[in-house]
Amino acid sequence: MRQMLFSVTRSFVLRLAVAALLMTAPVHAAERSGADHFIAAYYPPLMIDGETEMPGSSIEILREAARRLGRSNTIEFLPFRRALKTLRHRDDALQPALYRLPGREKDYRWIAHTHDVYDAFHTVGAPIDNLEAARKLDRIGVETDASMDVFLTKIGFTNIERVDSPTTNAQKLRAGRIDAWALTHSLAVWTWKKAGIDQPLTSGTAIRTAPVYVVAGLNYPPDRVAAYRATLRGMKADGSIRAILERYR
Amino acid sequence: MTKTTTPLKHRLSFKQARAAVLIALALGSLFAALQVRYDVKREIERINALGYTFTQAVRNSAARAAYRLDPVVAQEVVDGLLLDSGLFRAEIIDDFDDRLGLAEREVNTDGLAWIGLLVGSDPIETTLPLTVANVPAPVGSLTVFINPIEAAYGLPDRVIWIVLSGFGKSLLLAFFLLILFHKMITKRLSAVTERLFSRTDRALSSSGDEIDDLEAAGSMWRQDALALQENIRRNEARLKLAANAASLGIWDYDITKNTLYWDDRMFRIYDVEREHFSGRYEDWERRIHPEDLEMARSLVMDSMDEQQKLDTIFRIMTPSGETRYVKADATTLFDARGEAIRMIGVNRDVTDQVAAERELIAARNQAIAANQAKSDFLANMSHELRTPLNAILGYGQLLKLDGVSIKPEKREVYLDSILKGGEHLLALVNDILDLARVEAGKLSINQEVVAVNQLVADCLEQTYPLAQKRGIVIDDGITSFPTVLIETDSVRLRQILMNLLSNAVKFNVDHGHIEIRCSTADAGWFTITVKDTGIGISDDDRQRVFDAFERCVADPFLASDGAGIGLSVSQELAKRLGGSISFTSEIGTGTEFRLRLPWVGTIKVPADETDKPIEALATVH
Repeated sequence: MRQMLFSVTRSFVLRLAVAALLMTAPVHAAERSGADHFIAAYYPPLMIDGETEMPGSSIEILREAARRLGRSNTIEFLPFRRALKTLRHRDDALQPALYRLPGREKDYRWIAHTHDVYDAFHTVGAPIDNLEAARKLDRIGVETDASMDVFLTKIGFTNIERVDSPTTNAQKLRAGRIDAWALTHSLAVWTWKKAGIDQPLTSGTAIRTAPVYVVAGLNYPPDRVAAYRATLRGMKADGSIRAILERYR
Repeated sequence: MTKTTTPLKHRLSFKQARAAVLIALALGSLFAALQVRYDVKREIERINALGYTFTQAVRNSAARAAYRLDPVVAQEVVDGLLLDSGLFRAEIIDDFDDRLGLAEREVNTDGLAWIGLLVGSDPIETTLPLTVANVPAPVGSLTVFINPIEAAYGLPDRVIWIVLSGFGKSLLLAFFLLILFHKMITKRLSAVTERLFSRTDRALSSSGDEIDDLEAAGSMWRQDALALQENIRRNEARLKLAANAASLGIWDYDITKNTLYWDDRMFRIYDVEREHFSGRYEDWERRIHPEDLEMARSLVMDSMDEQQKLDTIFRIMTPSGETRYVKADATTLFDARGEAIRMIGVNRDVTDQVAAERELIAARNQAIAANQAKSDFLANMSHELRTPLNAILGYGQLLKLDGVSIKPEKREVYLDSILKGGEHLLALVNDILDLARVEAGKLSINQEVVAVNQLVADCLEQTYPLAQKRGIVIDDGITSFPTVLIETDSVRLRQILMNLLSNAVKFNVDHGHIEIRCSTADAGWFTITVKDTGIGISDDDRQRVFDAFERCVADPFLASDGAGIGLSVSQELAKRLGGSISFTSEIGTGTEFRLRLPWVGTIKVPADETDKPIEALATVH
């Protein structure tokens, strides 16, 4: 009995010590040369703020890479623009996911390609597989200033209804208030599922495709860029990335 | 006063108006300057706070834009800020020192540069650090620039309004004050001055200034008032002295207010303490003797209703119950409608005077009576003396003329008549002398122990012959009475008894009855009663029975017999002996006279009887 009590007490003290170390770990890790700071922006299912079990596929990929490199890391979620700008101004920061677009090419170090995402029209009925079919629809839901909003407006779409949140468009689609929902496929699926809608979501074929990269600021140390690039390529090769992505489909 | 038209610039109203306007302008300027100064100070404070106010208003929006590095929102924020007057530049800088938004415009202060003298002209820069929750460092800053001249765009209008309204209010106030002063002071002052001047005979001229005129009138009136006051004081002193000398109490009755004023003398006359006098008419009435109240009230009413002067004497009752006589003189004042409004008068305590007058009246009546008595006496005496003298002289002359030839029986008759007349004359002279002595207080009393029974018996002895002539029976109840000793004057007692007995015979009817008794029923007194069955004394004559020379009989024959001084002398003698005479009488039945003499109760009894109280003996007889 006495031995059992001693064992429980020792276990509790050890847990407290571990917890204290974990709480102070980011600070200490950041001060060490083997620590990296991940800057993320909310973009499910790639980067999900507030989720510990499912923090986002890109975050899990980068964390796995860091783990394989033996580096510790901390994550900071920021608004998208602030995240990008912060990344540019820091020497120790990495961003788990960013579409590689021509306009961004010179501002970052594109460390490694992890996977591609594509934009499509989503419906609850017949799929919309091309732009011409979409033009004939009465109402297409987009998020204000999102890439699809910009893209469709640029190519002359006028049947666009804008809202602030993808969840709103999901609900509108379910209720039949819009005919199609233009969004990145993975984000649409994740939002539909998150909204708890039982109806099946029909996704059309890709309208646009974008490559997703792990990026860093221009001053991020080249040796570490090389290390992460090699590790991520290894993960791609060994199917680790694919496995992670599958969990978020 | 010589009334002249005062030039406008000299009139008080004009001076007041001028002073009011000048003061209003001065005060208006002062207050306007103070107000402007205060307003500018408040404006500077407002402008300095303006930047803070504006930045605070958009703090959240600006912070969100800076945190998200959203230039569109940031620009919207600064554009919105510039819509407000006074801000000419606004910018949002993120924490990377990059400008997220900027809005600015040209400053236009044309024609308003002078405002810079009041509020300053240097731009005011206000920077607000932008923070968001859960982010320790500021995510940016919002800076606004304010041009104070533009920000104070409303100040010129307000300054002008303050100055103009200040002057306007001051002038309006001055105007109303002027009207107010004119109505309340100047107009009434002028009216008072004119009234004062119009009521004087002095030759005065206006100085052209109402205040100076009023001062002159006031001075003049003050002199008059002082003179009047002096006159009043002197008159009051004279009146007071006169009233004191005449023992006059002065009263003043305000009829309309029912207030009655008394001076000190009045309170002394009525013997009333001032604090016990209510000063009401009713209080005065309450002090009047009840028997005189109606008369006094009636006279007061007459004085008020018929405008008669009040002049009366009435009695009052002092609180101690003393009755005093008060002489009242008063006059009534009436208003224009003839209504009595006031009575003023004097009271004088004439109690002593009334008493003296009464004494004088009594003395005068007494003197008149004495004079009448003297006249009666002379008249009676002339008759009383002349009658027996005539008899004496007549029969004497007859005897002288016919002395030889007259018959002896006639001579005897003449001589008896002469002797009878002489005796009568002697008795008359003795009575008169006695009366004179009594009235002169020179009657001597010789006290001695007198056996009343014996004395009565002697008197009866002398009376019997007279009674027998007229067939009158005398019932003697005294001579058989035990011998009573009285210490008195036997001569005077005999004189009284003889008078009573002779009257009983004289005024009795023929064959009448006389009863004489004695009594000791009254302790300390010995009473002898003489009762006849004569003609009696009427009620009218009862008061004059004991007066000298009065004959209280209706029968002229009887009335002519005697001088009428017997009872008067007897009464005076009885008084001198310490006793009195009283009587009861009934017309046609008779009269009973009672002589009371002081007696100590000694009875002398025969030798075979022991001395004993008379009451005990009275049962025997």
